Amino acid sequence: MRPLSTATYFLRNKRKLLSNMIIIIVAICLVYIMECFIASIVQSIYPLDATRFEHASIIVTTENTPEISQEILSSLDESENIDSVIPVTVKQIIFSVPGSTTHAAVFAAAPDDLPYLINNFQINVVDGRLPESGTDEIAIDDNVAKNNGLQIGSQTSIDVSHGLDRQYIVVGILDSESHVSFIGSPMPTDNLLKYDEKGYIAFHAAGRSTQAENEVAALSGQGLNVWTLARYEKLYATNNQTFQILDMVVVLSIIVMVVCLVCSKYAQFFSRKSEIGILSALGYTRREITIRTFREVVITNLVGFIIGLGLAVFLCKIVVSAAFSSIGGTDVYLNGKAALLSLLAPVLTTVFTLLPVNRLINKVDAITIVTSN
Amino acid sequence: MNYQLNSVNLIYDAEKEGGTTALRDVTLSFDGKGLIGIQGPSGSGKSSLLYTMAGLKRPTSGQVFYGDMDLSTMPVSELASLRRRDFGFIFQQHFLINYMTVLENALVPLNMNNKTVKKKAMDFFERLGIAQYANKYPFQLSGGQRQRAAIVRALMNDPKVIFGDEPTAALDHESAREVMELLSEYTGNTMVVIVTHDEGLLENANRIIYVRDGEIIRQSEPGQEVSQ
Repeated sequence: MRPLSTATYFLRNKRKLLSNMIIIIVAICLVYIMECFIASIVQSIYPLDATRFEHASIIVTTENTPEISQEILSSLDESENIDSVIPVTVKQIIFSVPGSTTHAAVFAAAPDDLPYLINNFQINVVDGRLPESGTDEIAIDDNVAKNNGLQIGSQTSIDVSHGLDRQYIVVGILDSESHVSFIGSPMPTDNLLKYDEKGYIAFHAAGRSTQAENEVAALSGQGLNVWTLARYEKLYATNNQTFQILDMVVVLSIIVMVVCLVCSKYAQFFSRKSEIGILSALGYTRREITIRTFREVVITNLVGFIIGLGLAVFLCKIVVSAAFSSIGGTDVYLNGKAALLSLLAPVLTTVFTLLPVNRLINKVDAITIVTSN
Repeated sequence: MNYQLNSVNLIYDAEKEGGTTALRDVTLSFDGKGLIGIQGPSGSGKSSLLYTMAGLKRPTSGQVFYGDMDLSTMPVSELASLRRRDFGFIFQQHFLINYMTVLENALVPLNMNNKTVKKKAMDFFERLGIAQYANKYPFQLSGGQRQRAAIVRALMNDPKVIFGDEPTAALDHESAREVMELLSEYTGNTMVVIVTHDEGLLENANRIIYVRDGEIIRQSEPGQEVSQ
């Protein structure tokens, strides 16, 4: 090893190297895990809410418009944008992941309509069967079942404010991107249904989703509660601001970490002033000294980043999987945005260390150093 | 290589009113070999003269020629490269790098670590009686041992000119003599310029330059005395 090589410096300054790397590694782990946590919340909640609207729009009656007129239904039936309009009872069941709570859709439909719904929502019955019409049975989405600790034979709990208002026995487990569950009762024709439980699912005709959504969305002007993908995404974007604030907190914490790290690194280089001076006196150019410094800083940060990222992915796999996968959520442990944000810490540290250190190298006067006592 | 200083003036803080004159109209020439001593009282400008010759200080006016190269106008990076290639330095303090071993410190000017250069360094260490400390760190050595290591560092690149600013100040008289003997061995092909208070160390000098208030007041050569 050459005496002025980066390897020699690292080998002779293991503690300094380690302390610098540990800060970088911790910063990367924190940022990466936090970002993956946010991504896991988003990936767990968004598909649960949004995917079903890719196939259909949902129209729910309201207090002001407790019934949907025959005229509206006929116009929807006749529309070339709508494939079919299915009457359903609209219920929901709670779905919670760390940091967020939402509700998954639960529908009851006439036995004749069930095959159409199963087919168009692309649902597979992975275990058990569909509920018998008129019974307190439920065929529940696999993820929702996991989230509520349900399996075939178990009973749902009654929680009026957050979900089902009666107990259902689980008779089937469903798997689909739409995360829709089905109950055997009350039927859409039940007179006891409350205004917000009566609804219609308007399935979009193939290739005409946008037109279908626009057509159905226009019904909100008639006092109906209309859910389309566009409306959901608008609502989701509003809620997403919370995640944007979290992202800003992450960036701010990166900046704080970078400031601490840069100060500590600058102090380290400042203590090497006489080394810089003597190398300059012995005939090393400022450029050579700067390149040597650049290598030290870049390698420390690069190696710290690689180790930190590896460790972060490993920890994420353990922590985030335990927090999300086990309860039916989606665990994200490989995330480009998280990796990119993690990269900010070493990149900013490198830049903001090299700028003042380069200034220090330029300011160090060899003669002042060698003539000082 | 010949050395020539033409009417060199060095004024510290020249841009400010009442700047301090370190060198005043110094004109000297050297034939590029031999032991040159620079003597004078404290603050007389001895070190300023040495560092101006070495290209570490730029004269305020005048020229410093090393061969046909004018050090007073040479770009900083070229000057640095020249120092590394042709000059060896021994400062008042050792200025060894603390996290490197003594051997690695000696190899710094070459930034090489092969068998040949290691053997060369070890031979010097042997000569100066510090071979057993080669793999120790500077802070594990006494002041005198560190200074000897710094001397080895100055010799490693086979310099054409060796500049020593009180190089034996940290050594006892006996060690200082050994160092001067070692440096004297180089004076056949090399110019060794030494600033020292100890006139006894310059008994083998080919020329002694006396400086006072930045002026060369006297020069002596074996068998003759030359006043400027």
